[in-house]
Amino acid sequence: MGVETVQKDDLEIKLNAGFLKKFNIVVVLLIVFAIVLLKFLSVYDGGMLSHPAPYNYLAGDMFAFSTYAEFAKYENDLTVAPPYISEGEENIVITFSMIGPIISAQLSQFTGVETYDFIIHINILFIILSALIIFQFLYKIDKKLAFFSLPLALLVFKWPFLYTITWGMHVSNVNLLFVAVSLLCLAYLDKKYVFIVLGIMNGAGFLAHARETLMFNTAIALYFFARLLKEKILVNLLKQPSLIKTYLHENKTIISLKNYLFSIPIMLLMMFRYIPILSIFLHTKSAAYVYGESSNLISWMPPWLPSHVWFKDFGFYQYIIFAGAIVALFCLIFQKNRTLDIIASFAIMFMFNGFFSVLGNKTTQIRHLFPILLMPLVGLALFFIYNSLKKPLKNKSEIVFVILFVIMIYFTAANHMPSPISDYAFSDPYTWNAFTWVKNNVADNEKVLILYGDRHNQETMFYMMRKVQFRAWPEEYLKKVSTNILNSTLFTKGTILAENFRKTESGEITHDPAITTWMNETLCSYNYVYSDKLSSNSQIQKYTLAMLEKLIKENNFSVAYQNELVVVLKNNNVGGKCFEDEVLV
Amino acid sequence: MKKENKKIILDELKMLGIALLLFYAFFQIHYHKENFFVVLKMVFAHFYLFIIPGYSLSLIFYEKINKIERLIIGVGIGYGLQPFLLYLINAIVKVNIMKYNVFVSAAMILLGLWLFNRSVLKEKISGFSLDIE
Repeated sequence: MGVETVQKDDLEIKLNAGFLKKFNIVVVLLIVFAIVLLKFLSVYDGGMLSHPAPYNYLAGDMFAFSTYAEFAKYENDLTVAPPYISEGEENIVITFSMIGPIISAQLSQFTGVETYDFIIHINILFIILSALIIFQFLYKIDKKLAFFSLPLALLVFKWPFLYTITWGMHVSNVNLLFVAVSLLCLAYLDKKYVFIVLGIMNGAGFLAHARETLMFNTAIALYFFARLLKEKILVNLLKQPSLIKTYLHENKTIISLKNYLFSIPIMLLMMFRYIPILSIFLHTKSAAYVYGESSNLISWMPPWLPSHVWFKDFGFYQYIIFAGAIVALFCLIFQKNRTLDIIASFAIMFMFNGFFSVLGNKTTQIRHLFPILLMPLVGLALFFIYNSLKKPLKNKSEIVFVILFVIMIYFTAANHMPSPISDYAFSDPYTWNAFTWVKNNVADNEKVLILYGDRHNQETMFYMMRKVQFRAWPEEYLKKVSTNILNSTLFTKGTILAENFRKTESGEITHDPAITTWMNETLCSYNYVYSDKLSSNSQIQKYTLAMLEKLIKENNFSVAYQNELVVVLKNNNVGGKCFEDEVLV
Repeated sequence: MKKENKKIILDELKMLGIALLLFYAFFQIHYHKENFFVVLKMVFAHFYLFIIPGYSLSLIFYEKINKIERLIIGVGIGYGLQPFLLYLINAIVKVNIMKYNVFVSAAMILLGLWLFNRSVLKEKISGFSLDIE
């Protein structure tokens, strides 16, 4: 009887092992993940790479990124703002992070697809690549740890996390890739020339979006601190300073630390464009900190504020993340594994930075990328549980691992599947066709006034016209509508898409906060007036149409372009006298 | 060309080929309504402009770092260094970056191959050069 039982068990084990070997379980699980990932992604892009207008753009920053990509694609000097993003002002220095826009611009040029399509494409691609790089890093420690961490990444495609894709964290997404690659560099930092790659990653990170790079470097600091303590290097050096020579040749931590320091000059070299403005930039930022203006050094984003991530948004994952944070701390203090120390420091410091906003209250935005950055925490928590069950499970542990992964994928898909996203929230093919007309027909020195549109609240959208444009201030315009008096003088604003740094004739760069201007001007001082003809509010529509008709009848304006939604009027007598006030009946 | 050298180069090309196929397959499924050639062009743009130049430079870590991780490092170098070089050249010469971006990528590929030849192949396998026989 006993012999029979043993044989039965043996047979079962053989069957299980054979089944798993036959299908190469890693490949099968990755294919399962890829299928679910594609399902999550299906709410984006509508199955197309190219669209007739900016697609899935849910906030103004997205248009700003596209504008910078257009700027990189068409302009000769990337250090100075072109007239269309500086109200025609000259020598305005561009301080924006240009790595992402330069990538999108090149892809657009190579494929013939518009730059705005590549902003979303790069967001999605870089997030997926970063998740896979972190997966590969965890795979170095353990296959199961890597797979347990993977399903959390899917949450990034769902609200509120999708803010990072459709609202305006393009530059953070670009930097996420450099941060993820830096993780690998850190693991190999004792090897020859790897410090050069780390320097390039940190430099590119600063050029892409400095904040994540700063956060990553706090993680590097924690990692080295933990290693120095755990290996008792600090204590030994205090007792016997001459040991440093031995350490510099033999100790992996000290060699890595030395190489990290060597990577800093490479990073600084890549930041060459920012060095002339660094002192002014730091001065204005520090002034803001001291006087408690927009960016507080340490701040806390309260959970009731909308469009920011809180733990509840992670659903059932929030408990696993908490548990994972405890496991990560435990590993960092007690475990000897170097790779584990890197990933634990990484996840802990990003979580800490994101929730305590150590680098200013804007830091909270990084929470939208937590499904990627906190992948290791989920992996660690589940791996810890799995390992404690491994012994009782004996040879069936592989099967349990597969089942556990599939269950996680299933629950993630069931609870966190994203809903369809608005296709043309602000721009649409009509608007884009009008922009294209303006781009091709308005001269560079002519001024365009944007009069009114229900969805004109994202002003950055108009920079994509690539012409000098000013906007009628919407609040003031609506006030006029409520009075029912047609008035030709409007309060207008042109915005500079830069941080008000101006290059002087001597080449010096100064900060000039007065550059952004507000003007009270008549409609007749602009070369073109651009407006939507339709509005969801009939009173506004009637008022706007009356205003446009008055310009045509009384002020030598003519219709230069129109489609179902937009009309562009050309002023044939710029600076002429504009119509008198009239009560709209 | 020696057999070992051929094997090394074929192995590296195989790695890149698999990465390209997976990249293409994934995005062809995601952009299933898009014209086949547009997706193909997009994939070639990514590989020619960024991934192959980065991978080529990461060959310097041949045998020090495994293939997949070299590819990852290559991806980082490609997307980080190529745009930076364009930005740097633009800051100096003030010429539109689209006029020389493809040459910068080509230069990165050639530099990577030259370094690979010098530091890895010549050192390890005597008498090898990348010249076609």
